[in-house]
Amino acid sequence: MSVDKPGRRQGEFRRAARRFRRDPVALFPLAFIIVVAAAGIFHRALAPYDPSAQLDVSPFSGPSAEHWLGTDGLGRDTFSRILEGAGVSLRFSVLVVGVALAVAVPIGLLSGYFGRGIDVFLMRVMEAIQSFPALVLAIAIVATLGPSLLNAGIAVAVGAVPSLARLTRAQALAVREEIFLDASRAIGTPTRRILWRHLLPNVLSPLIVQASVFLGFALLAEAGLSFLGLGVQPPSASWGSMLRQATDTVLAHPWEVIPPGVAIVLTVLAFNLLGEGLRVALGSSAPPRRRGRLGMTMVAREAEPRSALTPPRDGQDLLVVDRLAVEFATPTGRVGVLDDVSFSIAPGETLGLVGESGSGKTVTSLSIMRLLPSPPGMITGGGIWFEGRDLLSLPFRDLAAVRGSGIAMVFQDPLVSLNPAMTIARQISQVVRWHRGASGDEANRLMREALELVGIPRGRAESYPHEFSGGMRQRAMIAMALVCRPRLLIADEPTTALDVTIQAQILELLRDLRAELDMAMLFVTHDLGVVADICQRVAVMYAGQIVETGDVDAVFKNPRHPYTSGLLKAMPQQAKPRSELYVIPGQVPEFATIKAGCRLASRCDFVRDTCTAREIPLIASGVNHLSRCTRTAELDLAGRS
Amino acid sequence: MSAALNDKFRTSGAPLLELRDVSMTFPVRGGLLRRVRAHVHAVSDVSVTVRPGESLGLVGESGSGKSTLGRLALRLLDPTSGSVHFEGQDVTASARSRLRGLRSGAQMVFQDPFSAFNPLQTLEASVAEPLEVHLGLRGMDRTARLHELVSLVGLPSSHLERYPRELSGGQLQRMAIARALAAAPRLIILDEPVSSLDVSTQAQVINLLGSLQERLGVAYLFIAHNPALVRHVSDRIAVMYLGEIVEIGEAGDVYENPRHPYTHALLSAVTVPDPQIQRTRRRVVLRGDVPNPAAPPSGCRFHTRCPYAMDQCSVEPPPAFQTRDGTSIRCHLHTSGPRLDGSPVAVLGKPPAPTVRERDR
Repeated sequence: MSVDKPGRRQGEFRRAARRFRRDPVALFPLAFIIVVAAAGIFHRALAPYDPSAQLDVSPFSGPSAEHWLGTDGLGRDTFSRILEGAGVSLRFSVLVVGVALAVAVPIGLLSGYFGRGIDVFLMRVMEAIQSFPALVLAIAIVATLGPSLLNAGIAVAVGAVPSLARLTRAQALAVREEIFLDASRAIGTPTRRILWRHLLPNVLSPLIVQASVFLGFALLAEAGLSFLGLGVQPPSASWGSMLRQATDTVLAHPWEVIPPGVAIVLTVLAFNLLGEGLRVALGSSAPPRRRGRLGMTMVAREAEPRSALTPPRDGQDLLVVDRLAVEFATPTGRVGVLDDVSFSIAPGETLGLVGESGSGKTVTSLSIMRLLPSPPGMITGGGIWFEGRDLLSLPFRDLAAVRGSGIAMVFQDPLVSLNPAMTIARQISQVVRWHRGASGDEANRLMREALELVGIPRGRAESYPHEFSGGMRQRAMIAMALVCRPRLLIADEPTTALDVTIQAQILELLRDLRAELDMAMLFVTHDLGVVADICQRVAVMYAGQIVETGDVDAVFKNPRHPYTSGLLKAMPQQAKPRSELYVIPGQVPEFATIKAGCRLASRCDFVRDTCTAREIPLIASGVNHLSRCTRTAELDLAGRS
Repeated sequence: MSAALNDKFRTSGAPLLELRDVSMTFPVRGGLLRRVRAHVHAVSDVSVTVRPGESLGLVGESGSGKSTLGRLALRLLDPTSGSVHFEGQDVTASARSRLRGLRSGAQMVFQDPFSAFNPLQTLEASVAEPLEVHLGLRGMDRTARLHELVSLVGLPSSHLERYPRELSGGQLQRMAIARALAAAPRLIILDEPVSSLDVSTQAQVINLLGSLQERLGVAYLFIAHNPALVRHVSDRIAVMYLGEIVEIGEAGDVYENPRHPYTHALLSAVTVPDPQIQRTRRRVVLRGDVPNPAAPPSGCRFHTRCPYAMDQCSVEPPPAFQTRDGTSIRCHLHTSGPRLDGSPVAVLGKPPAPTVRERDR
């Protein structure tokens, strides 16, 4: 669920620039490169001496007040030559990378976008170039064309093209599958424009990073080639050629190698650090998620001392969730995402937890098993009792025992929840071994029983998850959840990803299993039709609160909260065909902007001043029927006839 | 636009879009040499028309080929065989560069609005794309038309300056509809346009689509997996199973009195938000999964899961059967066996004890 602050209007690149500006690791190298570049560009004005002039001083003079970095063997000022060299080296690097990109990016885009023959041809050419070691290739080119900085540049650029082209192609291949390219094709946008406006900007991020790293590489290549005498020719200075001259006399005058050597090392390092900084800035905006310590949601019940909470009535309820409150840590502070969530489930009973996206239904179901990742999630109030034990104060070892054997969970997408590298049979028997400490034979027997229970034929137990269809995978997931015979099954949107006829199969299966195993269910879904099908009681969630709860017949026939009534009227199932459907005006509020009082107030047709005056509690509005609406008694709300 | 114009659209006989015996197979490659191992028959010999101003619902489960059919209609895919006609013109053979008529006359709205927009562009740039490409609009004209479009879909003009991630799913889907409407198309292909949206947002978009059709007389090909939704928006419904249209007819006829066992089962699986109905209604729960479209069953493709399957069903593909009210069904039950002869499947009563017909793979 997102608790994003309503963001300022900005594009991806502008956001990346903002992230970049806040990152000292990226800013420092950038500043260094700017200084080096400025020195190179303005070296004539900045240099104290003419870099080529043989001054009337002793050669190899070493650092002094007049000559900060000393003089070389011909009596030239080293500092002035370093400045001149900076210009030569950087101009070379920028040109080489620019030329390489100009060649590589179109090759990569065409290859990635069109594929087939074009791709095969271009990629074979790239491979042919790559099969030569880059430096050997450069030496060969310079040897053929003669030593000069231009020829060295051509050599380095040719060597850089294949890897940049491959990077572009890989990125283009990924973007090619994006729907927005299809959308442009459907509009009839000419291919040139699709490539230029849609494909290119979206492949740019990794290219920018790679270009920065390549600038360092080109600088190093220039230094290497000049060192070998294949690049810059005297009397021009470059860091590589200076290094070469210095090494001739390194034993007698070791100082001479230091200035060009340090300049090369620092500048290349700066390019690489800049690349890293760009990678971070251009990468995903979300910081990497970390699991909480011990894999449990953190509990910090400051607001409410534990003694104030009422423990569950003896033996009546399997699960009691009492005034649960959950907050998320965001960059702008803590935001409450669950408030005053209370419900209970009796043995063998099925409760539907229904709501739209962002209502908090999944946060609730994850909190019960303390599976909500911390950070950002944190339970800040309330209690969760399972079979009389407070799950929020259990140590990890005891909680792990409850997970799987007492309460089991089934998720929406079984492909993500199953291990792709293990057969279904092994995954299920492993669960038994962990939880029951069963022997191999015993585990296998229970595994076969569980598969039979969910209707997976014996011959298919040794399959891998990807060999199963969506429906079969969900059956396997259910088998794994039920193999330890839990008393409570939490099913989080278990049929949402499935087709209608497969959904019918899974619902039928769950209905049968529930009766056979006398198991309670918490069924989390957005689909009121599914709730009507399989649940006995329902809790409707909106913006982090339960707004109405009661028996399904009462709630569907006679809803006592305007939101429930609105949801029912918005469904096309029993509306007159082609008639206008009821619409709940406005949008679900952002959690950060929630104000006191009824959270539906801004969208409700029946709103009064009293609705926003104070927090609204759940109010009894029938037998076992509660509604978080001050006007619940007086309103005449439409339900299903 | 006036109701009279609307009527003119609906009654005029010439189809807007016509697919004739269209098939689409995708090669399945595998192995070291990436040789073609099999062909997935995504769409097999489908003929269907969309009339001007009408709304044709295309319903089916994943793998039924409904989305492929939508893409074929727009020539985003080239059919393996058969032909596509738009406004009387055969557009099958046209080079892509000569598809401008089809491209400005037919548009598409996709399922996930968040991936249907270039994330690096403002929505203004995205919505203006068809205006620039097809109408060559610039400057004031372009701005005026953009404002007209966003107000048509009920959004404030200020949203144009935003980036896709700054809008909600429902707002973004409205933008996608605005973009589809930009070049004044006669047909919009809606590929699961509301299935990624919440119930309340879904209702907003459905209402918007209805009112736009009334005002502009645009025809819809509405592709969805939810039969209740398709029923709500469609004049006619086509039901697809494994690449074939098994039943097509007036929406009321197909939805109230399904004549194909698959349609019957599909509709009985629709959940209704009424616990009493859910408890008492008779369900036909189909056994097994949709077969692999790379190796579709012989004869009638539904026979492996059909509760009424007869011997001949696995041998002979059923021909199309026309009922008096204009519904077309591909099922042997209407011509042999119990001889439904155009009656709904429901008259057969409880199906013979369903057997698990899980194929061994």
